[in-house]
Amino acid sequence: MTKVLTTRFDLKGEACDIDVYIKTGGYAALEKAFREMTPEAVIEEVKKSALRGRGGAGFPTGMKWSFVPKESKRPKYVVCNADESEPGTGKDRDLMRWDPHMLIEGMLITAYALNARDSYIYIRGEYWYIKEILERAIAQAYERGYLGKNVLGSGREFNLYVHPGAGAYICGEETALLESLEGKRGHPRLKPPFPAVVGLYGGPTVVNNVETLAAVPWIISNGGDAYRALGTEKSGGTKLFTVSGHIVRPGNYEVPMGYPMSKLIYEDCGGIRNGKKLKAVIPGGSSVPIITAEEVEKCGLDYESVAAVGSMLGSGGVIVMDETVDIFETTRNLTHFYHHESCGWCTPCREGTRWLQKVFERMHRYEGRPGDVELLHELADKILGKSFCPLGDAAAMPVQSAIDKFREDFDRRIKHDLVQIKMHAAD
Amino acid sequence: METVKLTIDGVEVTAPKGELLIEVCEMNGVYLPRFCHFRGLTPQASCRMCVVRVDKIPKLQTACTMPVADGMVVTTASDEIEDVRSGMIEFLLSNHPVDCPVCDRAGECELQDQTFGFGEDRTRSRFEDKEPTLERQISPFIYNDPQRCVTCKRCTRVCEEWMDEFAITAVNRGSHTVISSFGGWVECSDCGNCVDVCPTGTLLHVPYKYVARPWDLKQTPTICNYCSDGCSILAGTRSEQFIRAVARDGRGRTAGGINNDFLCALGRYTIDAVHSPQRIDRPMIRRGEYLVPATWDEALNFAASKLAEIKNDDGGAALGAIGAARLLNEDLFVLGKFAAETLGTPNADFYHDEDEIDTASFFRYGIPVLATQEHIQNADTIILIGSDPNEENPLTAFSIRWAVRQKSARLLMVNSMPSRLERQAERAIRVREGSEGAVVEALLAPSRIEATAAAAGVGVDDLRFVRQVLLESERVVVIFGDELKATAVEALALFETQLATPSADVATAARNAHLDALQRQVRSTNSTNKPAVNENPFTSIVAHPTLEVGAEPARTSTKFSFVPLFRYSNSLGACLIGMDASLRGGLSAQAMINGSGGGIQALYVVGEDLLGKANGDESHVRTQLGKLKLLIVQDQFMTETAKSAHVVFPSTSFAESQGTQVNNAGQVQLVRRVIPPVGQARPDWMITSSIAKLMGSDFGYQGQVRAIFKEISERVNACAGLTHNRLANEGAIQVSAAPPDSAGIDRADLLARLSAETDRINKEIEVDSSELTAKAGSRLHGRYPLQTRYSEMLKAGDGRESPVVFPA
Repeated sequence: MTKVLTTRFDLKGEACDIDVYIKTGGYAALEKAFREMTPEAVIEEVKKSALRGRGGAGFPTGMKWSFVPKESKRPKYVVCNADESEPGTGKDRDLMRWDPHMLIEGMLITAYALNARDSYIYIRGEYWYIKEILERAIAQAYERGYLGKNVLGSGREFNLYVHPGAGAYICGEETALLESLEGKRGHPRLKPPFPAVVGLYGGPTVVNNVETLAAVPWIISNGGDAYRALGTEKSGGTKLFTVSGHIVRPGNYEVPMGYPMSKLIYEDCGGIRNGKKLKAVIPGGSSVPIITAEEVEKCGLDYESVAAVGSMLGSGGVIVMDETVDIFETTRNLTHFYHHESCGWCTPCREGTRWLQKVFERMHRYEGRPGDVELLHELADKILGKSFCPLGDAAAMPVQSAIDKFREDFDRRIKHDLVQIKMHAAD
Repeated sequence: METVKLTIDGVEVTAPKGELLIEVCEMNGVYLPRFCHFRGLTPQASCRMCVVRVDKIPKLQTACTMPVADGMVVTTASDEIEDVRSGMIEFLLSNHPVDCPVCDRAGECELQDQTFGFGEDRTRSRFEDKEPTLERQISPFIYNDPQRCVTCKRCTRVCEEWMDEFAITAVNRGSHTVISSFGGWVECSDCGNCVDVCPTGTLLHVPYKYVARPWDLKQTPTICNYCSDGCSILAGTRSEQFIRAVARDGRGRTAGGINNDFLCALGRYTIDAVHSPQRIDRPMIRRGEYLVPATWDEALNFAASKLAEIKNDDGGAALGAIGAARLLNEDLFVLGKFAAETLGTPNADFYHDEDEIDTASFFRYGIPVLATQEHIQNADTIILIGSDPNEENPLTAFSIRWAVRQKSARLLMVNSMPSRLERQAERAIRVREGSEGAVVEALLAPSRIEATAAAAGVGVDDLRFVRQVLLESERVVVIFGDELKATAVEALALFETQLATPSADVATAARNAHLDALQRQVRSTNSTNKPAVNENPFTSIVAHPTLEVGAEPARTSTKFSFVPLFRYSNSLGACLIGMDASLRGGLSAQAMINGSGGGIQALYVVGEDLLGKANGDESHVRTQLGKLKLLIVQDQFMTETAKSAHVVFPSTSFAESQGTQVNNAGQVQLVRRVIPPVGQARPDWMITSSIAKLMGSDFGYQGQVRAIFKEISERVNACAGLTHNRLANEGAIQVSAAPPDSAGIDRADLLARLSAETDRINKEIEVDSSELTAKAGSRLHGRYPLQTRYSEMLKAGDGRESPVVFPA
């Protein structure tokens, strides 16, 4: 299996040193892009690769780049979204921890392609130790002339800064991230205009996930077609999956797009722990609908196949749950998270998540009332698609799918005493 | 104006291009529910109430962020949309205390109205689902009950965008979001606009708390009396008590004045002066040392006989009449007529001293084109010379900020003291105190730029820049204050000819260059500092014509228009109707005081505290007044002047009498009577004409204030054709300008006088850094020595010494 992202993971951190990185083929793609390719050619290559955004939405990266206007009165920026806060996802952490220079190289190629001078890595605040790794790597890159004035004799200047977040899930949403990066309260912005037109400090901005940018050097070195050939027609390349939960070998796995999910779980990860049966899987980080064990069997790991079973590939955080799990409790946990992380901007998300949590809490105490399960489903429906940013959808979808697929776990929480049944009947 | 055609619920309508869909719907009679949307504030799209279905777009769209486009097909009502709306209402109410019976907003609450209009009649939320929070006072004037909040953030946006104060903000996250401030106590100018725009009972006026229910209130539109901007207020009265003044009540009704939804602290919180216990409630006559209460007949007869006696003994010229510049036109006119016809004296003047704008100079060559608030809001360039509108004319400051933020207007400031408006200025020049006139000369006479720059203590480049911007601009509003002295004020008449734009192309090019530069500006990263120009793509493409939806932007016919920032609510009116002594050929108010005991034997003072205004010269004025044979005072309060009078008449406040006043834009507005007179007070004109009648001249008004205004409109050209009825129906009407004929101005002489003035400044004012210290502060409030709850509360507020803007 061809590795794109995890080639240097076995070095266990030695690749953080620029010499090791260069020895193992690093910065070759950068030199190729600078010396042999025009910015347009770089964008064209990325378009050819069918690389799609790895942060969750899966938007074609090349197309996103081509939305950036060529001529702009304000400076353009490249921003790396390293605010990896999605529960169940830890791929970016390892990418930055074991191979920081690959991200730097990818960002430099992107900045070259978009004609941006300054780039930012917005990193999750809890990743303070990775911030140090990145900053050391950036310092080395400045020393070697990959960053700074006149990079590789091109006469152009490139700067890279690392900015830590302060612990808000919403700041992983690209416009809220930009607000936070500008030093403001992390609220999503109104779209349109999209960041590609009006982004950071009002300038055209490309915001990409760590994994997306880290794949760029390989694409430039080996060509977009080669990358596309690794995966499926519409989802090119490979993807990192963080597999967690009740499996024998949890961890980050790089597999090509379209890889069968059951193979990932039962072969690569060694199957379900303690010989238990699989109950459910959340395939793409906590925000996506849950899928059942039967659906896992027919599910391939690419955007289209996961969508076919009614879920989303998301950020690639595969959460595996065995038969001992009460889906009600896991959903309650997620709802608590989304209530805590709702930014409070729009009504449905702010009030909806709070209400959802209140109902979950009383059901948790086995004090649910008849009709509460339907209430949960309807509340989620009122949030879905009506909120200002995708966070509202993220809070609603797990609830709805969990109720649809594991209704019995919810029904158990309803307290049917005689009086209530009578009152219910009288309705 | 470019228009587009779109279909709303199957009806084809025409709308201004780029206008927001929610406004277009409203213009066409389709009201979309909203909490966060507010005309003129940046779109927020957070309440999700105004969702509509737009063809060809998969998701429901918020009408408050959607600019209309040609061929758009919009559905505003369907099962799907109604479901969303009732869902949002249910969400909002799920964490709302629903304590309407004890909420002051109940009855004029948008949450109530919209629940009634768009919500369900029952909810699935339960009491234990709510998260109770405590009500608290966050400033001397504002109560906050966070639980009632729908987080529409109108209040914070008003604070940031209208007032540029950033005093309140949303703190905490998610469902714990509350409107508060850093530190919990709000330090601001207490304008109270955040309370007015609040759709629920989250923010409440402290003085109005538990005072009345909206359905008990009688609301009368009238005009505020506190500064020369002339804002309209909705005067809320209950049981003949004036208890509330707002620009906009909870249901969004406004008085329809020039200020739309805006009102400042003074207009809002000083109204209780009307019912102050310090009001004089009956006439009084001096008996030896004491002022003794008397009946009206006694007092009027006493005054009339004394005046007649002095007129007999010393002749009419020994009598003088002084009126206050905040009196209504009718009061001043009758006073002037009384002086001329009954007393037979030319000595009648409205009180203004040399620190104020010299009205005579301003009107020397005719009535210049005066800029209304709409003109300011639509100007290309605004130049502010002297004064600080933020404190003295808050509505003008609001309009300036509006122009800069919404219309990318260029603001130039020439000032000797700091002002918060400098944040909006493209170039703010801090000149030496008293040298504002030199800048006017620099603009008119480029050859003298070195000398003027030296006099003003500023760089030559700054002055050149200001001149260049004025030359290039198409429409310029000149706003000036007291600091501009007589000659400079007179020289403003030369602006139109001396600073004419070379050509339309030059103006367009300069405008484009300015917009381009704004585009290039990297946005400030300071979170408390919103960009001066609205960055939001929707408001920048929506060329908001004015605050009025769909109207053409107001433009003046001439390049230059003026806003003299007079001190009092009717300074301009007093001058227009001829109460100015220089027009009558009599003694000025100062001259009358100085002439007391000599040429002047009796003074008839209406509504003015001569001692209070003495400017540190109080003992002199007191001595002078002591020499008088007769001092008659009509006033609302027992001022120092009233205390030394021989006879005192209680007069009505602006809330108790009908009449007209003229604001600094020359707009005549009708002041309505909202409550009956307090105590035995009578309108000033009535007292004056009663005395006149006793002295043998009947003015024939028969107690009708309209009859006085009829006479004014016949005698005063500027007011021709106006009647109280017309003013009541049409609102503010600007008096017709008679722009100065440039040929009639002796340009050389005027410039020579201006140069002499500059040279005098250059010589007399020493360059001393201490001159640059701020003198801004309590000037506006200080002019009204009224005992109001406002001033009392400012002192009382949580141990805080004084507020930021209006120290008591």
